[in-house]
Order: sequence, then structure tokens, then C-alpha cells
Amino acid sequence: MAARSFHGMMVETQDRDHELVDRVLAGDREAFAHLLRRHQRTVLNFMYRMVGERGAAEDLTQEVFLKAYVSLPRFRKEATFSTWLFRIAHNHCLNALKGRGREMSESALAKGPSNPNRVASVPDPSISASERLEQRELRGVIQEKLGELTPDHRAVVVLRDIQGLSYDEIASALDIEGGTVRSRLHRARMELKEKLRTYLET
Amino acid sequence: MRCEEIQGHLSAYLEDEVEPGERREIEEHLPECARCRHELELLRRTVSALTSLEEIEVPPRLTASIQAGVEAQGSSWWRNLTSRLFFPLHIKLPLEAMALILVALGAVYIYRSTPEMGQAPRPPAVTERAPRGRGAAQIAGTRQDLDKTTALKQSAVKTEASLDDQAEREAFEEAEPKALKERDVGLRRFGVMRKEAPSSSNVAPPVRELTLKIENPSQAASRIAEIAATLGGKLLEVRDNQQLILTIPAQEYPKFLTAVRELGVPVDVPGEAKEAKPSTPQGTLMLHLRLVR
Repeated sequence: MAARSFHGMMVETQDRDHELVDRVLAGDREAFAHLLRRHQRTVLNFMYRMVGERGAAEDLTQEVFLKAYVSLPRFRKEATFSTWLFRIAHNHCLNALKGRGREMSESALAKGPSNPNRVASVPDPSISASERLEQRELRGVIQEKLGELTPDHRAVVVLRDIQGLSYDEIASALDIEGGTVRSRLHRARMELKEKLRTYLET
Repeated sequence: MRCEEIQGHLSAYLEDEVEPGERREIEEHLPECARCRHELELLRRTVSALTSLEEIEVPPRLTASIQAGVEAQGSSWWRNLTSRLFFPLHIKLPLEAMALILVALGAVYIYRSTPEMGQAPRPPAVTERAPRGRGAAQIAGTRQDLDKTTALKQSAVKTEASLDDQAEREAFEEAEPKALKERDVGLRRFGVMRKEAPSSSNVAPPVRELTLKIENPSQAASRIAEIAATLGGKLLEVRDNQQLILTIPAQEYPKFLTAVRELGVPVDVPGEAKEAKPSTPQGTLMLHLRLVR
């Protein structure tokens, strides 16, 4: 029952999005403001987890929405609006990482968010495991280790474990097969597990 | 299944994404293998840690910035779309025509405001055409202004010289036959005059100079005026009772020479024999007659 009501909610969300898209295409700019408010948080957080730096994530988010707005006449409603938006965001992010993000992926991204409380990569044995595993510190480490994954693996983990998309939605957003989603997710999680082993073992 | 295979399915097992057979094997293996249980626990913690990551909030300035960007994009996007799809030809075409006119006006403006372009070399026939036509017309017509005599003479010489370049002339006439029709008429006239001129001389000035040895120059002037009038010519000016400037029809020149012999003796008449027989009885000659004792 819960799954069905969740599905119903998703359908309702999708219908609402499609209605707003129609209104935007009819010249109603306020409708795009509604779409923006509904999806900007998701896109910003996806970008933040992908690039690991807040300012860059905001810039990329803005670019994604402008791109989406310009491309809106090509939205065919075969996918949900959010999936379509993720596809734009993912492609834009990959391009950014390839170009200007090369240095980002090696510096800002690999270092994770600029958090002064971030723990060092090699844990100090004098500090107890429980102290190291303080939630706040762990978040910094996770972001750092996320940055060490390949963008393809990172995108799957972010979309699934952080953003909560279904396998099908991820497949649609990344334009890959469901089996590829599954195998990438598995490899990415196993890699992260190894990277976080020191922090996760008690 | 061996431990490696089990661990290869743990990620899917966590999300209940394994086949029933695989699930059964995993669940039979886990109670017997502490290592695989540990790996499953670490994987669960990894996913849990990822899930627990806090979301960042959207700063209001970002929303405003995106909306501003969309507003700016929006107008052009909408305009582009509508103009491509809906602007009919009767609106598009005048717009394009107007743009063409603007470009043309711009080109003219640039041409005029750039002196170097005005100094660009033109076809030489154009520059020589105007004086040629004017000169011919003036020579063919009646001359009233004696002060211009010298200038006219020079002009006629120039004109004739330029006419010698037949190739140039023909090329020009081919290029702009209509625009210069009037001038061409003048040229043709002048061409006829040129044929009247002595065949031996390329330069055929319509002005003849003649020196007459005479007993009483002061009285001769009035007689010469009468002779000229009789022949259809006109005495234009008398300078110091010694120099007479008059016009006579070209074909009357031999008669004029015969008549003035009654008054005195022509001396040093260059090309007298040829000049006495103009081949074409048309046009007007200007005579500079010098009277000497």
C-alpha cells in the first residue's frame, strides 16, 4: 500500500511537472519558476556531491537550469522531468569535469569540501576510532572519498544512495542499461567501502 | 558459493535486488562466515553513511540568479521560436529588404566619408569625356566670348589629342552608351569637323593665323569686316588696328583669302595651299589676322 501511494505521489509529481512544462512552452515564465523551486535543491545537491565544492556546484546548477530552459522544447515527456533534468546535469557535470574540472577533480574534488574539521586521509592512531567516526568528520571523509571515484561510479552512487533514485531512473538519467547501473553501483560501493574501511571498522 | 562470489552480490543483496536462488545461498553462507558478515556490515555502514549525508540548502541568491538568467534567456528563446515559426513572409521579407537598404546606405556613407575611396583610379575616358564634349559643342557653336579664345584653342587641341585614342573612345562608348548619349553626339560632330581638317596634319586647329602686308591697316579693318560679313562671317574684335579676330564659315576661307588679296599681300601663310581647300564645307573658322605694313 505504501509503495502504491508513493507511486501515486510520483505520478502526481510527474503530471504536475509536465503541466508546468506545457505552461512554460506556452510562454508562461512563472511556470518555470515553479519548476525551478521544485528541482533546484536536487540538482544543486547532485552537483555538490559530484564536484565537492559549493561555489562550483552553484555555478553548474545555474548553467544546468539555463540549459534546461533553452532545451525545454525538446523535452518529449517520455521520461520524468526530474530524470530529464538529471541527464542534463550529469552531462554538463562530466563536461565541466573534463574541461575546467580537471584541476577541480584533482584538487578541490579530491580534497572534498573545504571543511576545517575534515580529518586527514591517514588516521592518527592516537585518536580513538569512536572519535574519528564522529558523524561530522565522517561526512567530510565520505565526500573526499567520493571524489576519488571515477565520475561514472560517483554519479551512480550519488543518484542511488544520496539522492534515492530507482535503478530505472538512474538508467534513464545516465542513459545506460539497468545492468550497467547495477554493476557500477556494486563496484562503486565496494571501492568506497575499502576507502572508508579504517573509519567504518570499530 | 565461495566468499568472493558472495561478496560480489552483497551490494544487490542489501537492496533485495538478487535472485531468490542467490538470496538463499547468501543467507545460508553468512551464518557460517564471519568474514563475509563483516564485509556485509561494512557495506551497510558505507551505504548508511552515504544516505546520512546532509543536503545543502539552496541559497536564495542562486534562485534569483537562475531566474534572472532565465528571464534574459527567456525573451530571446521565445522571440527566436516565434520568429522562426510564426513570422509570415510578408513581415519577414520587408524586414530583410530594410536590412539590405541599411547595408547599402552604410556602404554609401562609408564611401563618402572615406576620401581614399574617392581617389580610386577611374576609367580614364570618363575624366576626358566632359571637356571633349564641351569643347566640341563650343567649337561647333557661335563664339561670343573672345576672352575665351585661347582657352578654347587649347581645349580643342587637347580634345583632338584625346580623340586620337580610338580604342579608348570605343571602349567607353560601349560601356556607357546611354548615359553619355549627349556627349557622344558632340563627339560625332567633332569627329566630322576633324575630317574637314587638313589630312596631312593630325592637329587641325579651328583657329587660323594669317599675316597680311597692307598699306593702310586702319582702313583695311572695316573692309575686312565687310568681306567677312559678305561671306557669312563676323568681325569680333580689332586690337590696335593691327590684329583682327573674326569668324567665317570654313568653306568660305578660300574666298576670304582671295578677297583680302585685294587689300594686301598675305605673307607667311603656313599651309596656305592646304588650308585654302577645306575638304568639308561645314563648321566655322576663327581667324587671327595680323596687319603689317
